[in-house]
Amino acid sequence: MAVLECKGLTKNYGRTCALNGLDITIEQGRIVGLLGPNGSGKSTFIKLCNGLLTPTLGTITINGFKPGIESKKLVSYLPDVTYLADWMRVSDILDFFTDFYVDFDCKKALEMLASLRIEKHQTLRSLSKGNKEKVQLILVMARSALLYLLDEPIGGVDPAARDYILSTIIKNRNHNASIIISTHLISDIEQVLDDVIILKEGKVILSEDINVLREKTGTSVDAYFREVFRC
Amino acid sequence: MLIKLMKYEFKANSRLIISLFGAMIAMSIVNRLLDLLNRAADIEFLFITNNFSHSLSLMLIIATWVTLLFITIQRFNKSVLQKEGYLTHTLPVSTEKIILSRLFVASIWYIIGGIVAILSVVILTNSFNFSDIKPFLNGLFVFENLRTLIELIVCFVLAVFCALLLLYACLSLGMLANSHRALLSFGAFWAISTMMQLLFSITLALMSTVLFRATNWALFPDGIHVALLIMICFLSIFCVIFFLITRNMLRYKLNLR
Repeated sequence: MAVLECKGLTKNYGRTCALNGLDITIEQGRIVGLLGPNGSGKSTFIKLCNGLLTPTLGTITINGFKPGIESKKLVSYLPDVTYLADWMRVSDILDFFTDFYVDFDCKKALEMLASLRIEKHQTLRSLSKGNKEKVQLILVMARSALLYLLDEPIGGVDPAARDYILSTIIKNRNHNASIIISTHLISDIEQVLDDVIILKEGKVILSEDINVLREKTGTSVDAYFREVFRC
Repeated sequence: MLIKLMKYEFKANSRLIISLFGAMIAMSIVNRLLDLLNRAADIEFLFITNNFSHSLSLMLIIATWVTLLFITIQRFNKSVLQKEGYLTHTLPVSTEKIILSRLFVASIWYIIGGIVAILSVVILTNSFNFSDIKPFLNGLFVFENLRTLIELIVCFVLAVFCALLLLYACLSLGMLANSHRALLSFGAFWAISTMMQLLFSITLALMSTVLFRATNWALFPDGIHVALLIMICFLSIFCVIFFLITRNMLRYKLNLR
């Protein structure tokens, strides 16, 4: 069964078409790179999957459910912004996730926090931007979700932190789960991907197994991307 | 899930709001003590200080209400319509529960705020006599008075709900604008509240002509209850309208910043 399926997915913002008739199917257990230049519709697609936006046309289902309460139980989402309330302590936010997500593993989250030397009693206000992003990632990856939607998880952090984040994603994912990683830092994530979906101006221009793509083009995905989107 | 949402909603502002309420009560007690001291000592300096701190107390009561209003707007904006909304709207809870949790918690703060303000004024003016309690309670539990009191309480709670839901609806309508959201929200607030006042005036006019002028008060002793019930219906209808506007905006037009 497909974890995520969308048919004819279209999203317009007024007269601007952000997504134009997307047909995407993500199978279980795959790590998918959602690639594309700025404004190609990556974040819009991820927001639609989370029910943060309503499609103009088309359908989207997650494990057979339309975006809603049931789908939200299955999806673990990392947005591209810092969304945690500053007044909360790390322990408060752990309690919050424990209260709302039955699949949240607090023990696992505490282990990951300890490895980063982030104390439970620290307020989020006192953490650096990078550490806040790591806390968000830890919260997301400590869930045993069916689908992880990660929007620019390595966009705002230094290269050393990127390695930590990627290894956290790979080590902690539920192996039946699928992960969609939206980014334009392709070279950093290429080694962990199974599939690649490339968006351009709201349309899918390529959806392929990464090994097949490499064989076809004889080059890395990063080099292929640079070639396609050369300015 | 509603209880859990309310728990975190309380946590978010409790420290600030409880401090404000504490300051309101503390200021009233200080005033009362200054007042007593002044009466005992009759010193001019104390008299001036007392007047000054009385004004300060009243200002603090007003400031607390303004702050409470500001917190209500800010809390809904931040946790539902801005960045924190990424977490709020991806929780496995319904949009209705998200709105209701904010509504119930804010209403509880306002009701507590009302009680604290009354208590402050009572302390400040020393206008309460313990010997009045018994006759007051005896009078209260007469059926007619109790019925009126319950209707008044329902009316008051609905008025608080209605005011808060109006704020939520206007803030949510602001999402229709790509820029100048606050301006659109303010415009919506002005338009809707004007329309509400107009409808309320029409209802009052109809009530007075059709109901009261045509009826002799002596023959119509339930007039006050009819008036309160009409008010309850009026407020209930607007609560439902504002709730639906907010719910539909959050469900179909969500546009987080």
